Amino acid sequence: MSRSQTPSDAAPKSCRQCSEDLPEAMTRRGLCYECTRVQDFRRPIENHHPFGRYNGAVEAITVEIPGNWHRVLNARANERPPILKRPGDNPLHQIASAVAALGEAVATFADFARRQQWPEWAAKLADRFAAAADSASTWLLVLAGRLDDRLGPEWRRDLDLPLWEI
Amino acid sequence: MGNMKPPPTTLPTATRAWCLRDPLTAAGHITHSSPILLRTPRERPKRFIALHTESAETTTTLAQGFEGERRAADGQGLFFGCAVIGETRNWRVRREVIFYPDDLPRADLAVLRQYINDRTFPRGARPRNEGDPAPDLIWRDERRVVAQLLPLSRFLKLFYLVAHADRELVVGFDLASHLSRLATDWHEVKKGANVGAWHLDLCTYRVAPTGKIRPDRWRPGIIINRKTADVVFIEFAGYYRGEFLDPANLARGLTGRHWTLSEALAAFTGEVMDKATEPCRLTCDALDHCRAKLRGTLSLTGTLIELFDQLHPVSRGARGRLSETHVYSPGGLARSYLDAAGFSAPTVPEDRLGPCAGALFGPWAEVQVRDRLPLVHVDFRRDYQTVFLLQRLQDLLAAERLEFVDDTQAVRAFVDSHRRQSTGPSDIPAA
Repeated sequence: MSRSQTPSDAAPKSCRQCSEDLPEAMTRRGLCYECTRVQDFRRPIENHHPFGRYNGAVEAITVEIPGNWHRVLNARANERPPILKRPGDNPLHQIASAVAALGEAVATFADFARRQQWPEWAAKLADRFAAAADSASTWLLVLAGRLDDRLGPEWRRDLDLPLWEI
Repeated sequence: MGNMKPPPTTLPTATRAWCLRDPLTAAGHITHSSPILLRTPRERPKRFIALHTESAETTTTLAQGFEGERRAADGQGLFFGCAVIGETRNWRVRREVIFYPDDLPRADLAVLRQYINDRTFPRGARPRNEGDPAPDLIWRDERRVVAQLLPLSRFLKLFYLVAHADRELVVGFDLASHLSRLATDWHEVKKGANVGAWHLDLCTYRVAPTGKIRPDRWRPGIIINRKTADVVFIEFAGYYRGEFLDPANLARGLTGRHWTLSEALAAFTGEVMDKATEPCRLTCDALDHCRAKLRGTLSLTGTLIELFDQLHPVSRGARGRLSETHVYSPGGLARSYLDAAGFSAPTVPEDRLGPCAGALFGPWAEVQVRDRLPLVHVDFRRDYQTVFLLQRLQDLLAAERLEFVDDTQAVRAFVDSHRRQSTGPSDIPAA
């Protein structure tokens, strides 16, 4: 992956070849990420791990998406709190992580819809879902903390809950 | 008496300044002569860090009857402080840090911990396996804001990461005083462009063999240069000068008067600040008040920057060249407008600056009254405008550079003719 911009760079605003101007997609070469991949004789498409790579089961789930939008999604995922990046074996953490990933995908979809000049309702609807997903993942994490405090770390076994699977 | 100096002799010379028009470029734009204003400012940073501190001592600590009531303090040292990190796009806060001196007594630290525990939720369960991340804390009333309690040494690392490494905006009302409370060492600047300013060392380390305390070379100090009572320049000492924004400066630049935080909040945002609590006693109320002041500062900054962008096309938020961090007075704004119109200070040879300053005659009139009185500027004869037009000073403003040539004979002839035309030779004795 090409190195992203640092604050001291005189940041090129758009790609010299395709005029792409997604800030997350711009590289130091003055090209967007997809164009740098093409220049290096690689495919502009990449495999995206929508639910992260914190264990083998979720790592196996991939979707092919354009490289530029892959970088946008990764930038959003990097802003998550550490507990959503590495949720461990707590099912509520894992569900919160999946809900956060859903919110990030929907927020990216809203950006995509605006850039493609799709009808405004599509982007607005996506924004609403993204906000709801963000709130839900936070609430699930708070619930996980409360259950841990009140019922102890083995509450899942005590309640005889099934495993959560994607 | 033998060492008495003879009176200075006046040299019978005169000079005239010739104005050279700025050449037009091929595109028809006027080239800018001032290298400072030619520099286009960076885009407004995407994130900000705003801070507010409470000092350990106030004037009441020293007042009669108050001695010993409060915690012993070293001067104006830091007692505790709050900082928030967020986005300048919508001035939304993402993270809030309450910081305290590393040597804060345990009793006070317990108050801080209790305050955080009572007002936050842990976001997640405790880690069960090695390597699992610990949950962070979010405020109960603001669930999108992560809360942290940090000692000053760790907060300074975060501060430099945001303000220096990431080059984000630093915001604070009366920012210089808050930054000075974070410093561990300070000295006067002895050379360079900031002679006489204060150099604050925020991050220091102890050299192992000698035990001496040295400033951290990777986290440069902060230079505070007080030009006048209300104008304080703040910058990092290294090659990167930083982006420091004091909303008090911006409010003064936009309105031409001094504002306190509560006055400015009431005028610009309509918010009312609660009355100050005792800042020298670490209580929940004092912490609430400190946080409220910080939120007020943020609200004021957002409103002022929005006004600045809307009202002034020279603002960098409106694709102009003037950064909101460089607005200190209405004069600065006017200078930026002149620059945008192609009028900037002409280049003057350095050896002519002294004679020009010596030739300046500035009349001064004042009335000394110990109060703030309503004042109306009455220039009923339009003296300044008339002088500006008659002297053709616009030519000077539009000049690329000023060249000084010896023109004594012509000036003498001009003065003589002027005397004869206006007052007559009988009124003024001949030279």
